[in-house]
Amino acid sequence: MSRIAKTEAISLKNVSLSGASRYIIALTRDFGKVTLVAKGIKKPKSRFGACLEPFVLSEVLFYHKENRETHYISHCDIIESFSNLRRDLEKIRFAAASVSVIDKVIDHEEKNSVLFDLVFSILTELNRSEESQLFILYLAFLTKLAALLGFQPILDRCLRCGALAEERTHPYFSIVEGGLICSGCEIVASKDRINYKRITPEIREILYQFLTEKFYKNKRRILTDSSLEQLHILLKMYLEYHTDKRIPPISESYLII
Amino acid sequence: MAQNLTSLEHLIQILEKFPGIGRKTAQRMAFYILQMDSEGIYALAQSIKDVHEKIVHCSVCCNITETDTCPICSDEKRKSSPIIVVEDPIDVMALQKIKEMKYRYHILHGRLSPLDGIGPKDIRIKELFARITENNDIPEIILATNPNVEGEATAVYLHKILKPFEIPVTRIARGLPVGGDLEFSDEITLSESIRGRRAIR
Repeated sequence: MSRIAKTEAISLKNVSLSGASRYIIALTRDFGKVTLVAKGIKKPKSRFGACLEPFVLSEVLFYHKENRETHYISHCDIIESFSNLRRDLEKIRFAAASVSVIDKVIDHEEKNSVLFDLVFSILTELNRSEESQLFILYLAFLTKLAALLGFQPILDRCLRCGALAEERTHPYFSIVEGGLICSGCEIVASKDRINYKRITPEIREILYQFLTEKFYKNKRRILTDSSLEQLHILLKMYLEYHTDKRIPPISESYLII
Repeated sequence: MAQNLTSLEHLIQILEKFPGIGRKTAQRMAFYILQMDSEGIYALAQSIKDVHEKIVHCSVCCNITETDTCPICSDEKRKSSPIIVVEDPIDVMALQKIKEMKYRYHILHGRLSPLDGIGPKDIRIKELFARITENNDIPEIILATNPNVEGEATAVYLHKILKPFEIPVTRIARGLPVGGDLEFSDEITLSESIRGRRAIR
């Protein structure tokens, strides 16, 4: 039994089918991640036009069939096109990395409107931000995503002895336990280099800001390139451990020839 | 599948691999092949073999051809005409419908795709570079990659890296299809058609 469903959708990925059709893997507000079939989308006179291009927020009408993995789209209209994401190579890179993570870690048809808002927020931020901000926005997105999936790291005290962040230094981050380890518990931590990662006070501070601010607003304070890379590796490992899924790498910068 | 029909099952499995062909269609095709006469079967097998053995990539434009260089590249009338850069050989077939003017082509055999991790090294950009470096008879390069996110990324990238050659690099127009209706167009298509407007000639 199928019913017509209407919801907001952000296209994550397009997969070419035979002829002029495509599979659209989209994150929807009311149905979670779904696979939609857009018949005839490649034809110049297709009624879908650019509505289902990656990163576009649209309102879609589709025939929702329970127990089916794919659903046919009947109609769609653009709500927000994020036009800058189509014109700037660096923005495309980070937008692609963000939606690829969602495509990897989210299971099909699990409704999560907060997650939908998070994806909308990161695309909005990437669309309007300068090039120098894109990487840090992506890292903020990964941190918020981890928290939203139920793996919010503990950043205000030691996971082992409970010593508060302001009382003692916390030089380690435990991937498995999800939080800080203080200098007093360091001996245990330093023996397991896969689980325990060294972090600087600046990285701890910025992780804390990622979690507490609506989106990352403190744009004056920028980490060095090596700290950003260190934070990226940490977040990637953290998400991969807890979701048990491989986080796709950010594609290489096309600007480096 | 019943026993002792392993050859038929094998054929169905091969046909199933074709894009857009499911199990049932593959079965129907296999049974059709089964009913064909020997002459038809050998002609089909031979043509598949020929396609595999005779078709090569043109050393100039990277298009599929049976002779290197391809007939388009060796056409004297096209000498000094603009080069149209496309994603796939099938795009050349579509563009060849234009009868007004003769063009040359360069086929990238793909497009940049940050979503699928396809970078500049994975497509035939190096060959395009070599072609431009070796020839000084190129009046213009027309980027005719598809007007979607990946095609757009490819065009923006090519425009950036081709700048030092000081050859005019243009992008095919985007907007409303001929015979289309304004009221049914989406905002991206409309904004592109307004941005790409031109004086009436």
